[in-house]
Amino acid sequence: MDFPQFQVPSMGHGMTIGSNAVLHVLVSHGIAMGVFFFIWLTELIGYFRRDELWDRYAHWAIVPTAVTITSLGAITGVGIWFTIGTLAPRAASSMLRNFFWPWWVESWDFLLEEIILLCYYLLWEKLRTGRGKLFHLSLGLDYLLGAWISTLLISGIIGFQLTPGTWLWDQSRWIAWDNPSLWPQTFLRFFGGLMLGGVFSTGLLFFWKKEPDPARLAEFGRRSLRLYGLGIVLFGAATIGCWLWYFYSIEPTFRINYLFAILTSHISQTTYWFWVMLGVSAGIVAILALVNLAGWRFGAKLLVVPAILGAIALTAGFERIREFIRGPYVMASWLYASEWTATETARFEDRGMLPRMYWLNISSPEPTVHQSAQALFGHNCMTCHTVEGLNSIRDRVAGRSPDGIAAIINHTREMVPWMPPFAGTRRESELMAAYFYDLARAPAADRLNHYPTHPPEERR
Amino acid sequence: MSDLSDMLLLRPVQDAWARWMLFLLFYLHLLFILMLIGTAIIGVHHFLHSFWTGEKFEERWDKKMLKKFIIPKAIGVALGTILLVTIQTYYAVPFYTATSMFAPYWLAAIPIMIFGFFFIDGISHKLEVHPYMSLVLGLIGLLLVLIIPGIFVVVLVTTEDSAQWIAIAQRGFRLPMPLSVHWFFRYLHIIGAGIVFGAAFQYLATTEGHEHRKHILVRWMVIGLLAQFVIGGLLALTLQQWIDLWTILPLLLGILCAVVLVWLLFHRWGKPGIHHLGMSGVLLLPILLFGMLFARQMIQQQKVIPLIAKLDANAQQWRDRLDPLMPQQLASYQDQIREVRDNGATIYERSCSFCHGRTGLGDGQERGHLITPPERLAYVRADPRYIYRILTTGVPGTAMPYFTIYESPRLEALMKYLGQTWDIYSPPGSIPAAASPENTAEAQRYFNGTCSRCHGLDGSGNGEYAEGLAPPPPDFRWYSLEPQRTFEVLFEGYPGTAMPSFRRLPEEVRWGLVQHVRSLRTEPPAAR
Repeated sequence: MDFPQFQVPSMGHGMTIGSNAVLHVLVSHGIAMGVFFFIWLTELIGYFRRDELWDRYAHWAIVPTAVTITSLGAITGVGIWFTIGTLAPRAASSMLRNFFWPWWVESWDFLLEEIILLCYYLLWEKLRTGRGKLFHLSLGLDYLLGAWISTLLISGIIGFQLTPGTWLWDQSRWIAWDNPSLWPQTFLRFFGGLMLGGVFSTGLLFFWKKEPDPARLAEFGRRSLRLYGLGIVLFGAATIGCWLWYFYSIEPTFRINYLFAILTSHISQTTYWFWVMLGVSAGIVAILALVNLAGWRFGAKLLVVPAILGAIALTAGFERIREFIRGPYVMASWLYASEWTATETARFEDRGMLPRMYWLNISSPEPTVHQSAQALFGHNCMTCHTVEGLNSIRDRVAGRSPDGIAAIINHTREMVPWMPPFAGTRRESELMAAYFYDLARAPAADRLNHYPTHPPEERR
Repeated sequence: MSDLSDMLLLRPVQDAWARWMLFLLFYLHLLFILMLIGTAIIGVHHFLHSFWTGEKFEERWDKKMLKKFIIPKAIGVALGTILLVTIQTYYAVPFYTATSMFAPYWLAAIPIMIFGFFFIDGISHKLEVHPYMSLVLGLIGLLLVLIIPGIFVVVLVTTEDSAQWIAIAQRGFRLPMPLSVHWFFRYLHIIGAGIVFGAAFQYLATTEGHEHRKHILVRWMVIGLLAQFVIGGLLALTLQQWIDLWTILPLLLGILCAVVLVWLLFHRWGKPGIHHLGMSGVLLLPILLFGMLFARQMIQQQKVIPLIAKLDANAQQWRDRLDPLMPQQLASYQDQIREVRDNGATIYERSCSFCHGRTGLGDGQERGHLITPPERLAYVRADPRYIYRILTTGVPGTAMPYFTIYESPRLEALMKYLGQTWDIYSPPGSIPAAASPENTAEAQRYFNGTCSRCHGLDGSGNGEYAEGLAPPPPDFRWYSLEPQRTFEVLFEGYPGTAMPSFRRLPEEVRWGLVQHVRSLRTEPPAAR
């Protein structure tokens, strides 16, 4: 079954899914796990030191944290479903069926986390002293445990997309979840989230102005910064270790494309930029950690925003590499990024794709060449390419002859390591090639949003 | 093995159980979402009231109301996630068809929800906000929250009505009139239910010790319920053809609960000093919701189950066609895993040989499809910088693409392979037949008079007739072919390019031209 095609203008599918997902990761890892952890730790320290200032800060800090988690975190998480379901429905439904139980369990776990979070936040005053406080602290710990379980479940699911292990032969859903990158990714996300939490918590600290005694505030600030700095260093080191563990759990055939994932065709010939970007991002976070450890409040205030940007860059970079190097697959060994399996691709190469495209064939009794070409583009290329926006297909084929474009289309799988094979006959590839050739020459954009329900306008 | 051919046939849970799960999840999700909608409406209404009457900050009821917003929001959204997982599994095709059709709205729902919820939370959580800012946040937040159910309802309506999909597509992905009307009343019915459930939630959560507040909320509930009777009736009219015994019974249960509830509230309202919702009132609401949602589920099943059965039949057929191709799938993945493009040989074999041929003779698979044939690399003798430029920019007007898909270390590995395999960076070999000085001089005159029109006097390809040629003439200062091959090109021309055949020239002159072109090789100008 195919679905009506919608092209996100300018941004394209990958960037739409990716921007929402990276925002979600920043909140779910960095805030829901990381910042929460440091708030809980602050409360714990306050309990052991019998210092109400720490408790007061933690109580203040949980408010924007809980609001952000339940608004931005939860909705961007739902947003992942919205975006992948709309823009990659066959992949989403295949993943859902294969991982129904882990996802189902994870959803209930998420609900439990939300309830515990609400209790932790709303019952703070009621559970202020004695056994109530101990119970409150245990609620925080339960929440963190729930968060770790979520990480474990999700890591197995998305890890499968890149490291399916022997699933294609065993067909066991357990094998699918317990795949080679399950444990490395779980701990990478866990420690990475805690490290992000240290950076974000540094920023949050400077918003608190509720302590009238400046000396106490300064002392609290210094101690907190040291705590966050220690966290960034310890969890940062663990993150680096887990990153290497994760990276080497991936098959070399995929792994080797990590540089291009970040550099893209624009700067792939100057590879040092990768190391510059990595160095600057990680470096600024490391410097913040050192400044924090020294308890230098002014320095931390100066560096926290660049460090947050650096942390965001590291997170976005990781997710980009993970998603990109999976190409040509969206589910390695099973489903190509074009959203067809190898068996379906073989069948379309033999019998043609166009007769099977339901939405093309019902939108007009006899689809025009233009409509057919757009359908082929939609069902083969649109996961990664736009017509006139990011990774525009016009840019990719500009300067090529029409026969040349057809030749390239028929060998995408060989020519480019992360491109899926074209799922159609030779004739269909030539049809699409002619369409691309026209696009590359046309002065204005040929906007494809949905299959046209009427014949196209006169050619320019 | 066969279930994998089309994952639509995989059933983690039997369909009947899945439908119960869907019902239960939708019930729980909607319960909290209705509380959310009502809280937003009633809360912002009373916020406006406090704003205009200038009520004291500490005594404001709207703040207490809106502070509770986070509870149904967090729980409702979490339940919605589980619901999404289930509906996307069991109603995958209709659901994804609906979201694809209304993709701009469906995707827009994400930022709308983020900002709507943030704004409502913003005015309620004692975040440092100026009063006028709160007003703006509150109004915009409420507007956004009210848009969201509209988007969800259009997706649900489309999911259920597969018979209308063609009509929707032919209207440029807009609902036809009867479906629009159904959508409209369904949307209003949700908002109305939100008011009722929101009021009940606030009654239980924020009115302790405040009789006046209880009175206000009971009034909201009664007005909401009365409006629901009207809207519900109109909604039922749009669903006439689907109402059967299994639908009418739960519907009547729901209506009965609503009637009893209204009577209870009016009855209690009438009596002085008693404004309690009471346990019976609280219990009637979930039963009312159960009745209504059960009726909705029965209607939905009537519409969707036949489609799922048809899709399953198609999926079975498709699976049977694909099964024989499974060994190919296994083999292709095996190949994928083994292939590591970290060396020139592998890169050449995968990215270049389908045109340039395994042995570099330009006889790859695509040879027969290309108007300008692939260069016979085995005969190329060129400066490495020139080759690098071709690799990174392609050759205009031909099939030769740019290969910046490989980072510079990998391109260098490829270039090294080309050098090792075909010696392409060496100077061209010696001419087999020596040309006499007269022939060489004549060849040079011929070159300057004829060839230079395209190739330029220095062979750089800057001749006046070369402007706009695609492919352009190569730059002889950096690029040569082996003499035998050059001689061949002079004889045959170069197909798919502007280079004609010069077979009419005497053979000696042609060898002279080979000699002359060879002499044009110089050190290239400054680095690229």
